[in-house]
Amino acid sequence: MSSRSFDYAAPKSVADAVALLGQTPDTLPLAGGHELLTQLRLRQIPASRLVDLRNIPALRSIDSNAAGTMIGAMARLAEIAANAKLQGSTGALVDAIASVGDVQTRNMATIGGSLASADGANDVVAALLVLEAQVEVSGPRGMRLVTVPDLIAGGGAALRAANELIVGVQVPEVPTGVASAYAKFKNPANSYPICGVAVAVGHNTNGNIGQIRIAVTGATKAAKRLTSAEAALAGKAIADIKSLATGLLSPAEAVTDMFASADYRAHLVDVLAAEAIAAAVARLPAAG
Amino acid sequence: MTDMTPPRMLGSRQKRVEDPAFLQGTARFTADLSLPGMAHMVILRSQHGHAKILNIDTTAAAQSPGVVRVVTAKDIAGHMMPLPCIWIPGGAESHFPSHPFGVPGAGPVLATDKVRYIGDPVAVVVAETERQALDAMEKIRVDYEVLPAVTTPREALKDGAPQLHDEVKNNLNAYCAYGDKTAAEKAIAEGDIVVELDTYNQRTINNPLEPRGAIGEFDKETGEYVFRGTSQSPHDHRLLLALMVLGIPYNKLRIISPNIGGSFGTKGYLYADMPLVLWLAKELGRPVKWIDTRSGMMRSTVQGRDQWMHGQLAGTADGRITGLKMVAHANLGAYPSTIGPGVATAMVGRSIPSVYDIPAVSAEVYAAFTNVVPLGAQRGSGRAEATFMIERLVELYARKIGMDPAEVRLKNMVRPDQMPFDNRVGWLYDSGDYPATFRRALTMAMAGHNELGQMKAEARARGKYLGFAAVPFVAVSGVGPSPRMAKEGMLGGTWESCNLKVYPTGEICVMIGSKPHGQGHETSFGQIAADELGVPLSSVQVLHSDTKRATFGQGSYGSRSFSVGGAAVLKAAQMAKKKAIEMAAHGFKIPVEDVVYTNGRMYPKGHPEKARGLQDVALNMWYGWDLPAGMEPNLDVTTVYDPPDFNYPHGSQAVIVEVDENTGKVEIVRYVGVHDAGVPGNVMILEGQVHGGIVHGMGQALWEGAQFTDDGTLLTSTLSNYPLPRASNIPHLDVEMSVSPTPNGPLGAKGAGEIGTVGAPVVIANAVCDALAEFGISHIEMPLTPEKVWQAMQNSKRFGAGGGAI
Repeated sequence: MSSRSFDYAAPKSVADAVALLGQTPDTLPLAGGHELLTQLRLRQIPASRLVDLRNIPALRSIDSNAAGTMIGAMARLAEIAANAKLQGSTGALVDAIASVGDVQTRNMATIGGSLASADGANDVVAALLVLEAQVEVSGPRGMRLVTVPDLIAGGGAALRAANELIVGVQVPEVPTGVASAYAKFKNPANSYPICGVAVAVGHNTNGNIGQIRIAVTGATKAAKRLTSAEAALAGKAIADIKSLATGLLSPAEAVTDMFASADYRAHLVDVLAAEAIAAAVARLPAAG
Repeated sequence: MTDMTPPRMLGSRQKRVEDPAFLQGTARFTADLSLPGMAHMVILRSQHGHAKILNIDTTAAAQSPGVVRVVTAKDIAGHMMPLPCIWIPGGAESHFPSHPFGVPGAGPVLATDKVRYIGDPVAVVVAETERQALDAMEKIRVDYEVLPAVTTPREALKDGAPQLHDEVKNNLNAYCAYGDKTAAEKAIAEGDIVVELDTYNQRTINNPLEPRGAIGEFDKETGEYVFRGTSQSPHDHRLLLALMVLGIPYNKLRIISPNIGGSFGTKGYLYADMPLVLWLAKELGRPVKWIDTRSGMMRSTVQGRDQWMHGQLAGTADGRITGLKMVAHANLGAYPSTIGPGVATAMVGRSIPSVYDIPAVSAEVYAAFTNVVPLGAQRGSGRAEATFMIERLVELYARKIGMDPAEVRLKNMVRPDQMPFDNRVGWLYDSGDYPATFRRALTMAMAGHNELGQMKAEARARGKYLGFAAVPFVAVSGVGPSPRMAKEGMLGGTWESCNLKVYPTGEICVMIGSKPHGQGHETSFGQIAADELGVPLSSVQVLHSDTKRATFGQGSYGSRSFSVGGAAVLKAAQMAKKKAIEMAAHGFKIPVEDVVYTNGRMYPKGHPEKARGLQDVALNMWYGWDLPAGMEPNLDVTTVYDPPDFNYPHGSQAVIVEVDENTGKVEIVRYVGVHDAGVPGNVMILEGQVHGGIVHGMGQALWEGAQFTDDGTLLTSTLSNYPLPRASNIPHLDVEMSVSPTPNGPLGAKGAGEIGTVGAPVVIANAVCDALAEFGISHIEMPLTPEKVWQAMQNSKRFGAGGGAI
């Protein structure tokens, strides 16, 4: 099925891209294209012009320093998962990416494109929540940093309204003694998470976990941290996690749709949280 | 010197000659075709399940850039009739209807006063490009008055339900009864043990890789129409379009069906686009092309199953089944599709006792119209639903009397010495050792495994519930004997034809009426001719899919291609061989019976040095200088084959599943099967058919199911919300073949395309119920999604054993 006609531009710099976004209404940035091109072919959204970001080399890089890692918006999910530094320190992100679609999807999909739909069932976003990453956004008034929860709250629509472009993700350096993981129950049709749980777990001592961050996606309307669950599990014995991980999400907060009920999703949060915590703990250096 | 017997081509593993083009991407499909001057058509479809059309305003669309023509129902009035239904169940009295008035509720090519499902075609736009046509389509304004809708057959039949068609009272298309209802009811009333089940065999959406497509062309000089498109029954479509829809001469319509990327039962039906592209090609004086989308595949292509079934089974306390009664409500959707009503009734009702010898059997099917997509076939249709019901009932019965389900099955199974066996509702099973295949499947399933109780305990320790089930099945195939099909209400000859030529240069050309849509006819049909004539496969060319070639063929469906169409090829090869031998005898000046034919060569008995090849003989027949008295020149024969009866492939499958205690997710850990499709043509193709068939059945068991809202909106309208089986979800399949030749055909072959599908859903469902036996769960409806299984376990925990059934 053919899309409606639209113009196309492939600028070479972020500044040019941002300028183009503001020029005509319904101008949309094109990253990996998975969601956007499907929507256009089905004529579900208006588009007057696509601004293809593929020719902006700066957006493709993954750079690490002492403060953390800056992942360019156009970095492909497969490239991020293959990055040695991230493999060693951001298990939840690597797990989440591995669970996205299939090989071809991950070869084309970008982290910026994923974040443009941060307000939906989104694997990557759950991982970024527990890694406390921030998103770098460029717009007519320059660059700003947005927290992942803020990005989720506004959604892609807020960025588009402000003619802003996601240019990258800053993942803070993960301290030694912290490990993360992501566990997911896939929708068998589209591979999106019916429920996904990301956790980051602090150093364990005497068989106890330290601090813990838990984020859920798919089960709730948008991805979110489960702060009360974090408080309930922090410092608890690893051996007790499975029995303690109950009722982490109230069914009242979970969504019901054609794929699963709120009750089932809330139940999956417990199952997956226990699974993700076990995986993260296994990644921690031995207690000492 | 002794005769050299050539290695048999039939029954051997031959790589498919079609595959290089498919694998290298050079094979051309309908969407790849482009004709000079071609315009593009798009179809505006209803957005409502049920609505009155108050007004259609096409003014803006007609003025949109590039638009050639906009067409609504009023433009085609008088030019084409509604799409016919040619399988009207109900017996000999009801067939040969005078079209269209004999087909109450027949679907108009474009909706006139009402739309009755969300894919109902309302208008078409033809433009220079597909994009321009779509742009213009967005400008068509249709004013609807939304009407109350009904989406399930039991509701549709109730008084006061929304009426789809004025001429169809209570939305009832057909009521069919099979077997002896009085006897079955008596057996149930008097039965020591009675079990019953109400189950919904859910609607499945056909999803071949290639969506449908159609290109119409009209030649002003010759007056000939050419249709190119995804037709798995090109000859039959030619007849139906010429005779019943367009009213044009048969000799002015040619149908060419390019490569087809799968069908599973969808592309043998008539659809609105087919007459439209032909009529428009003539109207506009240029070819017109229409290519469907995936969402079109989902919402306007015939769908499968959708049987609401109630079954009762009676038996003795020691495991002897005494009676079976089934009442089904089939959901036909909005219109009677080409053969949908017959598929939905006879194929279910007559298949209900499956492999069992049950003294009293009754089946009744009500087929009702509703505001959903028209029902057609899906691989295994009718037989899969019947098998699901009977095998669930047998499982429930065995558990109730505390017997091993396998033992109960063996105790009631038709034995080889009972063949041919009248199943008491219309099928006469031809051949096979059902108990032997069943025992073999049991053995295969447990080979290399611990005893079942031990396996269950070991799985429990890993947080899994392990279950086992084995089911036998039989699936009527090889449609069919034409006179018998007429009695079933089929309007059409179900014979197949073959034209076989031996060219003067020695190559052999086989033209078949049968049309492949993935089955590999060029290979397996070539094997038949090569085998009979003793020549290499490479010297046989199989031509198909163009009505200018073979005489006729009803098409490829109902697992009939090889056993029926193949028989025509065998007959043709035998006739050609006989004629060649007569010619050789004439040349050698010896009696015909003294000619030895081997390896494609002929010689006088005892004189192989005098051998003459088939090419040499064919060349002399071509010259025609010196022929036996009465022989016509040229080695070119045409045959027609109409089978004496159906054939009945059978088999057994067994599975071991594990259910996750936390999530309810079902994992198949072992899948075995023994399948018997009679004498095989190409073993590799046969195995592929069985594998694909099983996977199809797994899809229904675990993932698939169309979901409509009460107003007829299709929720599962794309592949992002309709899960199909994926390679990564499919376990290794351990499949064996057995061979019981059918007497109902010269090849001894039975249908292979659907046999894998019919048993798969129920063997999985039974195994899951076995896994969850300790919860008292007796039944879970398909698809067995993790949540449904988990909910059943939860309910059981909450309400005690027995509370788990949902």
